[in-house]
Amino acid sequence: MNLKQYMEMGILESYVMGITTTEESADIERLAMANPGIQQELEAIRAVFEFCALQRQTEPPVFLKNQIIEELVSN
Amino acid sequence: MSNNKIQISEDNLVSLLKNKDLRGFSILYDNYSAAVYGIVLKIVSSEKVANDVLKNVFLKIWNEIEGYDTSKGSLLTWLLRVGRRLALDQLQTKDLQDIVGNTTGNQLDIHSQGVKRLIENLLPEQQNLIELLYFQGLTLAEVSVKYGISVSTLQDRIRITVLDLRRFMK
Repeated sequence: MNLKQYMEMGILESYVMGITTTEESADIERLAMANPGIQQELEAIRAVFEFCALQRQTEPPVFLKNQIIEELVSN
Repeated sequence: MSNNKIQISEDNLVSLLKNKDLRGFSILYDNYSAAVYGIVLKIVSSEKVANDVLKNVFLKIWNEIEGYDTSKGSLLTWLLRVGRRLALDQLQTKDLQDIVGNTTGNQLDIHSQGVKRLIENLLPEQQNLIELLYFQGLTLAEVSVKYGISVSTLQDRIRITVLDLRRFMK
């Protein structure tokens, strides 16, 4: 299988969604290191999902931020 | 986005975080907590649980920032990935089949007009795919059973959906 076919499998989209197996993820990360084309494709796919997530923004309760910071400081 | 978001370059923000500077943490939280909370709340459907998950996400990011590798994506992508994973861990005992049953026919809840138009360009089934896999955390196997198609056909459809979104976003 060549790189183009690999990119067309839909596996990169699954990787970005976090639903690939540990082995598949490791393969993809290795391939991405060696191939700027895959890296670029991953970035474009990530942009789509970040965009989708930004549309769903929901403000957390206001008290939560200080609670988390207190926990950071005490650790 | 609300007005309290601070403009800072990603590199500067990562430097602040790596230096364990609380100002960095505050900016990270102000800029991204709503995005992470949105997806976490969608998955766990309980505010109380979502609050705990959100806290754990930000503690994890703070503790693991040393190992953050920019080649694996932006801070937001990392936050979203950790958020989804920790939210899904909470779900393990929940019957996913119920979720599948309840979402048939649902579409993305999109509020902003521009995005609404963009998402409306997708077929309802494409909207459902993103909803089930990304926002509700079903596995490929679960969704392929729901649609009665193979995992590879499902991956094809996801790819086409993402390509469509990329085209509409331009």
